[in-house]
Amino acid sequence: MNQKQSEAGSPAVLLALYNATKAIQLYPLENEAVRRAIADVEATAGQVFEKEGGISIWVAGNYLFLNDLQVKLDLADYATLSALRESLRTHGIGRIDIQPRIQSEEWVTFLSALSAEPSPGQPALEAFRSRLEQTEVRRLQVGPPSPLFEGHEGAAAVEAARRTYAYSVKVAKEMMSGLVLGQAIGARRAQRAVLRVVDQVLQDRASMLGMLTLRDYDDHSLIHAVNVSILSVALGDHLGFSKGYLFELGFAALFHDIGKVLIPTSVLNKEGWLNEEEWRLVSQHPDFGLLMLFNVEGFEEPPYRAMLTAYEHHMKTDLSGYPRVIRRRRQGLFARIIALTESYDAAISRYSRQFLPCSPDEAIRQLRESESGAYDRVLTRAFVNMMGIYPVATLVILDTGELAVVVAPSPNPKAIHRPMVRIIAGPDGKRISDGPIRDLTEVDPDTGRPSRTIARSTDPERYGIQVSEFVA
Amino acid sequence: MMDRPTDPEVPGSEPADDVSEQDAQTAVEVGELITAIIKEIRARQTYVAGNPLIDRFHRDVQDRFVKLWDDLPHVSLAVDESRLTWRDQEVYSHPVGHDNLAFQFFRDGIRQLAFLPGGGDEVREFLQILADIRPGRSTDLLATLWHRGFDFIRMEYVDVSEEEALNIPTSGEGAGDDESLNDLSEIQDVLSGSPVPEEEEAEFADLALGEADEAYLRREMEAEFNRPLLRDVTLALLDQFEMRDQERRRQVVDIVRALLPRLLDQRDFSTVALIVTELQLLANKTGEVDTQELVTSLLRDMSEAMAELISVATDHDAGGPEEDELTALLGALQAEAIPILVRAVPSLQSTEVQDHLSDALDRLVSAHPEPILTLLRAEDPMLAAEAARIVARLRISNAESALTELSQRPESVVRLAALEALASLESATGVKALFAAMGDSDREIRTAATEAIDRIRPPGAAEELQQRLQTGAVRSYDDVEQMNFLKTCVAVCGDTIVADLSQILNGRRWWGGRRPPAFRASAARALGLVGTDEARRELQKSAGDKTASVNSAVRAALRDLESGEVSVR
Repeated sequence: MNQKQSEAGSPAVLLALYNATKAIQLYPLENEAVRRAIADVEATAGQVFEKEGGISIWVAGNYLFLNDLQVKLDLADYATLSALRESLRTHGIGRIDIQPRIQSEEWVTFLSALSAEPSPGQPALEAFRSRLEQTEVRRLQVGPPSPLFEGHEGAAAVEAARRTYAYSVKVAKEMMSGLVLGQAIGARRAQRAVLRVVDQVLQDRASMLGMLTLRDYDDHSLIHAVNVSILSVALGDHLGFSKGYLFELGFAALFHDIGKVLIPTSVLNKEGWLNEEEWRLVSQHPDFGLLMLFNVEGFEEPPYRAMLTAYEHHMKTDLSGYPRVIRRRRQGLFARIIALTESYDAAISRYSRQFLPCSPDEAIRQLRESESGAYDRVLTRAFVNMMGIYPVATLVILDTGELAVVVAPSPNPKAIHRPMVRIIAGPDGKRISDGPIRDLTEVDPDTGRPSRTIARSTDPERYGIQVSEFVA
Repeated sequence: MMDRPTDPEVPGSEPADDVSEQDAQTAVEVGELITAIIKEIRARQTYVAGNPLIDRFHRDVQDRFVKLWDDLPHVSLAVDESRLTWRDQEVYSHPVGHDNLAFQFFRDGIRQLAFLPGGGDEVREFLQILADIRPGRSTDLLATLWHRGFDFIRMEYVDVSEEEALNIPTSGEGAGDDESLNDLSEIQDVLSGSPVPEEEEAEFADLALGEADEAYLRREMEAEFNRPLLRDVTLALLDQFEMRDQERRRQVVDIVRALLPRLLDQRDFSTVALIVTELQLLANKTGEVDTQELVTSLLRDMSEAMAELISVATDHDAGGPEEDELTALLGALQAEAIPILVRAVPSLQSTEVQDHLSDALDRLVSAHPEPILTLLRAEDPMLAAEAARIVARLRISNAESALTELSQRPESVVRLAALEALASLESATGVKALFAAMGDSDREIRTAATEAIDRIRPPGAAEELQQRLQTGAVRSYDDVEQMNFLKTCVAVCGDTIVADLSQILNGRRWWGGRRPPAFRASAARALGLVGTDEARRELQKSAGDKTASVNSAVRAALRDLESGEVSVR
């Protein structure tokens, strides 16, 4: 990927802006921490002014641009810059233009407005602009997202995610049908499907993760393939993979279980335990996958990484899984990612052999507590950080007695147990249609404690609730 | 940046009949830009990279972009099947076909393109991508541009899926405000219970990644992105070959058969060496004939290509296999490599490489002589001649008849090689061909045949030489050849040749004349080589010859006889 850094050398000014916003949220304006944070903003912005004459920050989908150049979100800055991006989005801001000689007071006023909740009853950007107009802020203008860069929002984002999901399922089905007949398969349509998944995840990760709740398809193996692709791309994005590698990861994930098409469905869908012969067959699906992917055409090179991923995804990090290896090998990172994401999807899905799927938060708990050697420990924590303790689509009961569905992870990386939720029923048990979205990191100014906390997760079936209704 | 409007206008946002004068003028400029772009693409297709014409066209494109970027936040084009529009004004139109620029984008789903200021270098690369498209291509332009990930060139695309029937999943119906949950017990439990303890939150906070974790993940990403993919795939295939049944081995071999040409093409000798060595070892380890045949058949199929590339790559300083790889590769070659090696070895520059390959060739020919016998009948004279030399070097049997045929070929190089091979074989057929070759029209071949006869002294050679001497064929030879022929006669026939030599030196022809002086002089020197009393007597008969050259030769021969310097016998 050829993402470039700003001439200023780093997104330091963006990090400083985020830190200052947080400082203003936590402390009075005259506090030393706020003063220091603003001084840092001035210093880092000054460097950019000196080299480039002005500062222009754009939000485009999941990307941030600083003076025309995309800011590479690496692992260390990812959470912080994501949070800044979410703050801007909350206020409907797609672009900020800042002129040199901007004063400290202007920074403080702008950042105070940014750290505040959007005013209700008015379009967010309009409210933000009118708030700024009443102040002395003159050298900083905010604008809406450029239609050129902006992806879909709200319902349109969900609709786009659904189409992407449906297309991916269809393509996966075509590919698998072709491969089972031993035909050479052109990868063009699969490439398109993965490309769309990547773009969709980059534009709006939560909307794609919401698709995991859809269970309208008969063939579990197809939706499993697509779900694992979505989850893996999301994790790759969280880790800071470039678009090119996200594509490779998404493709590998889509076909990680391709070898299963050679196993009779009577065995795959068998209820109860497999016998020795059946297990021997099932445990060869990584081998089959490795070999079958040689029949995929349309790339400059055969999809070697996808082959290796299909081959290694059940090996476990200590190689105690299957297939057994003779020659020296280490389970690759892609295979380790897919081992995690496929376990998660398998846990929340309804297999024929697994009668009761577990809730998303339970699946996360199981991963956290899994035996050593099964999954990469650090990668597991990165996955948990991305998904949150209560992943999208978890039905939760808040300490207020409200029933809510998790609709997005927390933008605050230090509060992964406090996601964004949509309230769907009050403490009195009354359903609320189109209920409000609440950020569970919100603090009650009177008590200094969070306004709402998740008391527990619960089973949607108990309440006759289809969580997909709120996230997909 | 600061002066640009913050809300860039989107193409298609204004109706065409409301076009301002300024927009109409800009549309003309955009149209001219498209024309310049097409010229640059054609230049890139016509001329090799670095041609100054390409630079000239590119400067023109660049200048036009810069001018437009002065007034616009970006140059944005809407893509139709056969045309491009800017703010609903047509800026390019052409009948649908592979030479239609708009159609190139359209058919792969690209519907809008925007060029942002500062993307000059990217424009150059973008146009090269377009120039590389050929009619009947299988390239997916959208995927190519997407993977390139331009920062300053943006595109919007629709997918064919939008024109397909998709099973779009539904997410269920929402509940109304008046509905109530049918079970409140859990909620009541929560409300009546104690608050969520804060220590639980601390536990979750600990899940955040620390610096060491981030460093670990960066290392792991680096390792994955730089992973030797093909090598690892190869190791997996070898594991499969080793652990599974014959059917799996067959599958693996089929894959390797398709993979090896690609590896050879990439000059990945290390992986090829690994594959061929391991497969041979594993096949032997199984002790199963079927498996061994499977691997041998693979190697036979690959031998020509391997030999070809090894020959080319090894002879150059860079890009060839390492010594251990070369040994492994040469060790895997089968008989099918023989023709390639036969052709390649003589033309190799490096003698070291030549020795390596020559050894491999000898090993193959010794084990599989059939291909070399076939090559003796090759139309290519160099190939046939080289095959003959190898036959000679390795003393391959059953080659006489092919060599005899070869010795009749019109190309002297072939006949010569055939002759040398025949000589080395020392068989009756070979000797016969040698005798015949002494009458060859080519001096070099006659010489070679004579030398061969001198070397191997086959039965009947003395008679053959004497007969040839008596027929007078030798008269037409030049001095050197005559002398060499006579020396061979002396060596092979001994003193039985004295009468014939004397006849040349002292005899007269039917009309009374003598033989040419040079021929007589050669005969005198040859008599001197015989060294017997009879020879001396015959020499003395011409001691006073008036022809200076003859006289001189006679005296020299006699002098040599006196001093005992005769060396032929």
